[in-house]
Amino acid sequence: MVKNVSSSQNQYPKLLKQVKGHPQMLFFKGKLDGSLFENSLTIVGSRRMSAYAKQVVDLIVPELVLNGVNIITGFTYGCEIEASKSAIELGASTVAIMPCGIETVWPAYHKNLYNKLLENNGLIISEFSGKTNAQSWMFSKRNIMLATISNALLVVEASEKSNTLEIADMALKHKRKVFAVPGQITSNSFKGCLKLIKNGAQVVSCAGDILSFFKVSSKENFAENKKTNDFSDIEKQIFSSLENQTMSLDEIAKQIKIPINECSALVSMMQLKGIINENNGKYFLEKSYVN
Amino acid sequence: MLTRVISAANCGLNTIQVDVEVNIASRGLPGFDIVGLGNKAVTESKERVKTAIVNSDINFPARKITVNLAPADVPKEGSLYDLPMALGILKYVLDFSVPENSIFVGELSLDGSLRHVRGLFLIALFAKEKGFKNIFVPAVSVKEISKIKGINIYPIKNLSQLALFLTDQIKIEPLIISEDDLADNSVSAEFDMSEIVGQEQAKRAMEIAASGGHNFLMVGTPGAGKTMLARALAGILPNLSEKESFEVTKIYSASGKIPAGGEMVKIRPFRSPHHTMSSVGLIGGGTNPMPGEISLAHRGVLFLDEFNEYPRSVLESLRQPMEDGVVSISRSRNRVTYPCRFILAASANPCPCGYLNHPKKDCVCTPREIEKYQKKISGPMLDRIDLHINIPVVEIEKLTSKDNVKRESSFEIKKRVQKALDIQHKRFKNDNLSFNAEMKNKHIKKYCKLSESVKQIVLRAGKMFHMSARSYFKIIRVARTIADLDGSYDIKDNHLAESLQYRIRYISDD
Repeated sequence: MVKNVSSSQNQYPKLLKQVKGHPQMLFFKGKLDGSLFENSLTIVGSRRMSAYAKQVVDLIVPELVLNGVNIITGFTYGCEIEASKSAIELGASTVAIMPCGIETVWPAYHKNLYNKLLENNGLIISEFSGKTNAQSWMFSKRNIMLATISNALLVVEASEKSNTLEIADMALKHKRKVFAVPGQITSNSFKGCLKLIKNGAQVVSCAGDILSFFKVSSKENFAENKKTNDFSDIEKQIFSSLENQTMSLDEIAKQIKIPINECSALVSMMQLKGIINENNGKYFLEKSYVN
Repeated sequence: MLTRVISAANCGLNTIQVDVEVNIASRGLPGFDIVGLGNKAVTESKERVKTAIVNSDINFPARKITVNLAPADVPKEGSLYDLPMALGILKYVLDFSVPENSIFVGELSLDGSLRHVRGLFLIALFAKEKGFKNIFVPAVSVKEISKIKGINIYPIKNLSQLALFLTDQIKIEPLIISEDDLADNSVSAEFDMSEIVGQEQAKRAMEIAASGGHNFLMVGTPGAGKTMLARALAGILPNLSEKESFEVTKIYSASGKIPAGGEMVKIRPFRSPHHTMSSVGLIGGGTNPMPGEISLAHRGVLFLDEFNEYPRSVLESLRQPMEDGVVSISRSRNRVTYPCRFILAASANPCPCGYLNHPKKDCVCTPREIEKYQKKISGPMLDRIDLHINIPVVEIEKLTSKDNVKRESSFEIKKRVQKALDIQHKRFKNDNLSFNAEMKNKHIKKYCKLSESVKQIVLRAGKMFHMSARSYFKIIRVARTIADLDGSYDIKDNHLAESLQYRIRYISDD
């Protein structure tokens, strides 16, 4: 059911109200509760998520959620959907800020996740009414909300010229705390993040960096590694090669110097045991094994 | 005077006997008429017959000549009735007796020599099965049927030679069947596997596909080597057995793909039609239905490059023939069935621009475009593909560096493939199957008994990768082939674990 709230009402997000030119009316589905915007972190990132960015989301978001940080995203493909998904899977209430009319499900591809968000007492919010489809000018209006609705912003992955970077710049301008995930300096998809870091964003290397901003100490201890003692020698070798980088099957086979058929079988078994995982043909260590 | 000469007509892969009745009337104005539902090529043969007889220095009778092709209600086409018609006329002029129990086939050239005809292989097989003793064929076509035993094959060069033979003035020796091995062991692919740098996983997948007859789909960025890999696949396919060679030759003969002087098909066909192909081109068709690409790829490989670019309707028409191994083509006048057991080799780009997940280049497609592109291949189609292979980019440095790693040649891989195939033949000798990929659920239950530990792996994988019942059977079929390649009777843990690498990976699983 769609409801609305005007900027004169108390429920209206407080931080947004302080921004010049904030929308007079907001439309929403779900429960609009001021507590959703306390201790909240907006997560933005590229639509084309790299395997590394996925790894980062998997590593950081669950720990934040379990320690009571509320997640706000733009529900866009890629990093943002991934962040929302891991929060929703943990049963947390999350906020999604839509660039389209409140009655339109966007992206239609993620309708299931959209419904699950509402089931979890989450909030879907937009400044547009009706069934309007998302247009490019609506995105830039939505971006202002994303940048200012919470105290802190986490940029997971951003290239040099991107929407994501615009949002982050806007957040810096409005004196919001901006966190950025560092990537390889050779990678185009992280040039934006590196630029942000130069301009005063804080580097994130673990969930603790963000938790300390919210003055929460991690109750859930993720740092305790699972034991690698019961691995066979060759499994240990694969494990240690993957500690440094993501690798394809061919690369693993070449580094360990074993035939490809043996390597395939070993890697499958390690994946079934939950030690490693795969995204687009690249293998990486599962989060519980990353130190 | 009425003469009856026996010939034959092909309809699809079926052959029927055609009686060519030649009547030369003693009364009436001179003329030459052909009746019996012949097409243009048949009615035109009267000019060829007349000129050929005259040019062979034989008198052409100035009488009323009527030719009937019986049964008169079956449409007949082609030029193969030239020889039987000429023979009927020659009998009147030269007065000999037409050899009994014999079939005559051949097209006449204006100088009286005999030319190659389409479908000769089928006619020769038919003649043998029906118990005919002799078959008279053009000398240029004799290699095509040289492996058919149990019938005297007389190669005829021209009309005068035949006339001399039938009037007992010369002798023509029937063809001696050569007993040499049919299998052609030479590797005839465009590329050798040893030429391909990197791509170890893909090469292994080719080996599995060739051994077990599995369909596969390669996905990778442009220039990663998908086409090269598929072309190299031709070199590791197992040898064609004699039975298979007969099946393939029948199709090639029926579609006129065997040229004059051509032999039986000895190597597995490799067909790669372009993506602008129509569904009739793929499945077969026409008023008199001809085999399409799927039948021409029978017992071989059908390679569809740029899989997503084929019209959806064309791809979907593949589904039923792939399942059944035969295709029935119905047209208003004809209904024919062609076999089509082939390995489907498909390759595709991951997205319209091709650079999704490329380590260096950026993809410029929107997620919506990618989704649309990938959905062009339907779920049921993907379900029929056993091996899904990701082809990563090969770095240029690797191509140029002089590594001394010895890569396996196609010849070595082919030996392993052949061995695995022999194991399968032994296993399936009572089942009318030739490859693991053809196993249905009952065969899987019979031949792929899983130990407790393997079952545990399957269950865990099923949960983790959200596998459907159909993908469960696919994994086991592939694991069976991997075990065969290993020479193992049981499917072991590592065989199944390896087969998991070739499972289907859905783009999004929300």
